Parts: sequence; C-alpha cells; structure tokens
Amino acid sequence: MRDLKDVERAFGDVAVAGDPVQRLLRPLLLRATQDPGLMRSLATHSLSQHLPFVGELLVEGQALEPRPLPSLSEFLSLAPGVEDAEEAYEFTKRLPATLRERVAVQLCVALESRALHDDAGLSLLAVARLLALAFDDLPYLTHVLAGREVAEFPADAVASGAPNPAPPLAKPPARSRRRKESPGLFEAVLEPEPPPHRRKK
Amino acid sequence: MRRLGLAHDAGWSYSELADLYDVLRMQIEGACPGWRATRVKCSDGSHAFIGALGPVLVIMPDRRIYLGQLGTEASDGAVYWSGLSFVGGVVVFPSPNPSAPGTRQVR
Repeated sequence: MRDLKDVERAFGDVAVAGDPVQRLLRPLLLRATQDPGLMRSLATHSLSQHLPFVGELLVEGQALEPRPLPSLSEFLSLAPGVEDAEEAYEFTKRLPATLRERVAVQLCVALESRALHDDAGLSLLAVARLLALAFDDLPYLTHVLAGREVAEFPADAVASGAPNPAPPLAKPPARSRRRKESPGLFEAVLEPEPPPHRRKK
Repeated sequence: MRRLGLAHDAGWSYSELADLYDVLRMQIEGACPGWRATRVKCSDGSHAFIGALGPVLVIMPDRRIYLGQLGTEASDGAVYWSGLSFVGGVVVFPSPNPSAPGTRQVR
C-alpha cells in the first residue's frame, strides 16, 4: 500500500526548505503527485527521500552540458548493484532527444553518488522520472536556478508582471453537451451575458 | 482572475471554470518563466491550482472560488497536505477548507 505519510512528509520538507530549493521543488513535487507513471515507480520507494536527492542534482549540475545517453553496457558498468538501472536506462532512452540528453548527464552524475549504491532505498528509475519531469519545464528550472524572482500566483497576470493572457481563440478547453446548449464559453467571458437561468441543468 | 470572474458570472460550471483557468494558466506559464501553478484535485471534487510560492486558487463544486494558502492541515491552509488520498494513480488532496486563515472568497 502506498505510503501517503511519506508524500505528506515530502510536502513538509519542501515547506521548510530554503531558496532556491523550495521554489524548485514545490512545483516538481506537485507535478510528481499528479504523474501516475512516477507514482507507480515510487510505489515501494520514498518520494520524500528522492526529492531532495534530485534537487541536489539539479542545483549542483546546473552547469552541465547535455550529453548523449551512453550505450547500455557502458551505463550498466557505472551502476553495479543498482537494481533498476536497466529500467532507468530504457525509460531515459524513450525520452525526446533534448530531454534525454539532459536526463542522461544527470543520471551519470547520480551514479557517482554513494546514495545509489549504499542500499539507501533510492530508485534510479524514480530519479530518472523526476529529472525528466523537472527538465520538461526547462524555462522554469533555468529561471529558478539563475536566482530570478518567482512571480506571485494567482495575482492578475498584469499585476504579477506577466503578460495578460489573450483569450483562448481556439475551442473551449473541454467539449460538453451542455456547452453546446449555452452561448460559447469564451464569447461569454469576453461579453459576459448573464444566461445562467437559461442554461439547461 | 478577471476572466475567471467574468466566466463565473456568466454561469459556467465549476469544471468549465477550472478548464478555463487551466488554459489561461498555460498561456501565462508560456509567457512568464517564473510563474507556475499546478492543477490538483481535492476529494470533494474541487479543483485547486497551487502556485510555486504556496498560494492556492480553489474552485469548488458549488462554483465558489477562493484564494488562500497551501498549508499542513485544515486549520492553516485552504488546501493542505494532511490526509492525502490516492485515486486513479494520482494524489488527491483533502476537501478544501474555505475557513482557513488568510482565505478569501472571490466569487
């Protein structure tokens, strides 16, 4: 059974972490909790243990250049005794190239850490998934690691310095039968008619 | 927030409001690398958006919208991490607490 107390512990640890770790790890933790694949990888491992490990890799390895994933045999030779090294390799191999190269370099650095070899309960696959999740939002990662300010949320975009978002011109976010019965949702936002009483329940 | 309020006043359902905010959120994130919010679900069906610094926006099934903070427990946060559950492969937060200190209703 999943240890949700451990997830709660991860939130608590992030809340008391200093900057930039807190700004870096809170969105990563939140996204991790909403990622079924990652949560599956962590089924028998501790998220609260993996998160700071990955945070450390990201902070200390921010200057590292992406590099190609080594061959499987080369990779496995770096990971003697690491139980899920092959799964981590296969996961990384399937990532899009730019993401793969960033994760690859960090995984190789991670394998130099004793924590992965000391039977400390770390999963290389979970580390790879967390790294992929972090690098998937490279603009935020780069922004925070460069020590730049994180904008207030959810203040109005203009007030927070962000550009005012244009109204979505494409289709509404989700289609529903109900929507067809009502005025176009986005039109309603731009020209808010008050038709709730006319909307079919 | 203004657009969300207008949509609320125009009678959008709570899930439509959450989807709208999700679209706006992605637009802002694309334009502003230092602005991040993550969408999560709560056990009562509420949608919450949690900012990188800890503030939260909650859209409840009865269409009430609140701004508050992420906390440890119901006594200190509109959305809080004590009592998480696991549903459909993802973590679900407990029902939000609109009465938590620092929480205000915006709609």
